Amino acid sequence: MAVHPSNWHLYGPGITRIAVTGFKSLATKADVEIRPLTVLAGANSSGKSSLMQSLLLMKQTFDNERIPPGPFWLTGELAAYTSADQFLTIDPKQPDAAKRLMIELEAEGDWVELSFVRTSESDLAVAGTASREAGGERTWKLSRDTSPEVLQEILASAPGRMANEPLSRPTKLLPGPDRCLLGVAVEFADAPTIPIFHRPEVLRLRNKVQDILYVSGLRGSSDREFYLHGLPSAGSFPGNFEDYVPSILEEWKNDSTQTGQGYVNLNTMREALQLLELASDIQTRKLNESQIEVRVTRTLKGNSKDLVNVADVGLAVSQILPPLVALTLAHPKQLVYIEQPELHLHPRAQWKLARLLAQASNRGVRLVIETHSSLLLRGILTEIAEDRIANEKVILHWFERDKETGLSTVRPAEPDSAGRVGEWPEDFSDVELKSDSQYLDAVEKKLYTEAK
Amino acid sequence: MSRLNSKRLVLDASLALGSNDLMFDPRDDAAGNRNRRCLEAAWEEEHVAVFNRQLQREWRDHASPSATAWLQKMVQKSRTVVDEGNDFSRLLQPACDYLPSAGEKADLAKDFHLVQSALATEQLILSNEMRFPRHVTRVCAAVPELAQLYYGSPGIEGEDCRLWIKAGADKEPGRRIDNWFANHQP
Repeated sequence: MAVHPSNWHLYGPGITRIAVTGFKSLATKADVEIRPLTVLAGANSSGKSSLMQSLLLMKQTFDNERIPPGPFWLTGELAAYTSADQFLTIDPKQPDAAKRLMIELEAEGDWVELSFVRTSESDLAVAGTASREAGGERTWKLSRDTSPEVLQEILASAPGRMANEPLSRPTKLLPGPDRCLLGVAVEFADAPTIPIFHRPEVLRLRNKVQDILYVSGLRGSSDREFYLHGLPSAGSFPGNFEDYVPSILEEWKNDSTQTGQGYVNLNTMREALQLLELASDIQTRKLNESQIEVRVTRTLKGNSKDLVNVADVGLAVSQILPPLVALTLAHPKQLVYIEQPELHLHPRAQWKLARLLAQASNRGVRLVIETHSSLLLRGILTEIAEDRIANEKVILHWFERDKETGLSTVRPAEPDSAGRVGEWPEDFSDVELKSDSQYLDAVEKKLYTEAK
Repeated sequence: MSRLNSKRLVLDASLALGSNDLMFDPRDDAAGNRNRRCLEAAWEEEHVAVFNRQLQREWRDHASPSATAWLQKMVQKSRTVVDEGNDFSRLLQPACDYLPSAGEKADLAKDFHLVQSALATEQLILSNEMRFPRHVTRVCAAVPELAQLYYGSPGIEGEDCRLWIKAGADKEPGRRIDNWFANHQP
């Protein structure tokens, strides 16, 4: 499961763009460039999470072996809805009009657009899948009324098709829904199953979505014992990534030879915890065939004999472990999405966390973080100014929600090489200066009053 | 981009030094309070702070914590520019030649970097120094370019520097450095 760096090239291109229309407050297209370090920021309920939730809904759908009744598995560990109406944007002027959802993804040239429609008469359904391969000139559009000729062309280019199978037996080609994708369904006259085929770029992007490592902002409290999980052989972790963290650490420990990647990863974890001034060492201990505990040193200078259960140290350690394991584990080009990586961290650690994010991004990981921490943001800009990460690798997206319509807009900012972002509408600075000012004014007023 | 009516201001380090924090008792530091409010006004009106190498060094050496926080936010928003104003260094010698004493020459030379950066941008200087406007006013007769400077001093009570910044820091006749000094000389 610990992927050796020499195999990283096998994972293909990473996601470079996400555009979502019609999901929650994203009524108009929220078009977001993804760079190795992408920061999503904005006020509460401004639409930051909505952008990524649409991808998590896709991941949840692809992860589940059971076929969903519609395009998505609505209820799961990554997203929980009971009806598509809960996430489809409602046009207040036309509440009964058909609702449309579009999700576009780009991975270094490959482009895929998924479209869905929900009418007053019908449930949410896949309306179409369009795609264009990197370097290719043709855009392949597959909808419910695509002609048999185009279906045949798509089928001819689809990987996984038995070379002569559709040709040697009587078949009928139809546009067929395959979870949230529309593909070419091949009905064999003499076979009960109807396989569905897709263009290669569609499959590549599907894999990218499934490979997303998602560290939720709602991280569980620190347990004393954890159940061991079997780990996937590739980088795709179905469900909640946090649940795998102790098992990943255990596997790294068992791989601890001088040349093993697990040993390297554990060392990276120790260095990260030291940088954040949280602990000097981390280890796992198997309690029985199904349970382990995670132990860390109590102090920064503690040695490996001074280990205590992670539940017995500050909450910051257990909260930062999932982000740190994700940063260490992720292979280049894999998209790691972390909500509030700064949770429970002391301000100094929040600021230093930027160094670890920059290191992962420099390794090629595509990191999307959602944050409210001005210190973390400043840390990232400092990393740029001190040349530890190139400004071209970083992009910031500020989400704003219209107070009257409730709809979101996104404004990007590209830091310059000095780590400056210009007139990006980020309001952390305003809030800080105003709160400083109000406090100083209040203290002065009180002291003057007392002096009189 | 900053607002259309925003200006480029040269903010002497005396504002940063005196921009009060709670380490000073505000009852003894009313001028510091006015400095802080002027910096806040510059932020609110999206003015741009002009720096040169020496001024930057002075800010780093002397700025109070609240002034440092202000500067960090200005830098992050790209509301600072660097302009050494080297084209105007030629004015230093004739200006110093006009002043009679070695002390006055040294005083003017010490702060001439403010003049250079201001002349190269929008001719606006904010400082709590009183010797500086006095020297500049005197040498305007010999170096008329210096009469193009406009001046504000937040530390002086009733000088209304904050209101001037809030209103756009326009080149009001009363703020031309010779007129300003005539109205505010001790």
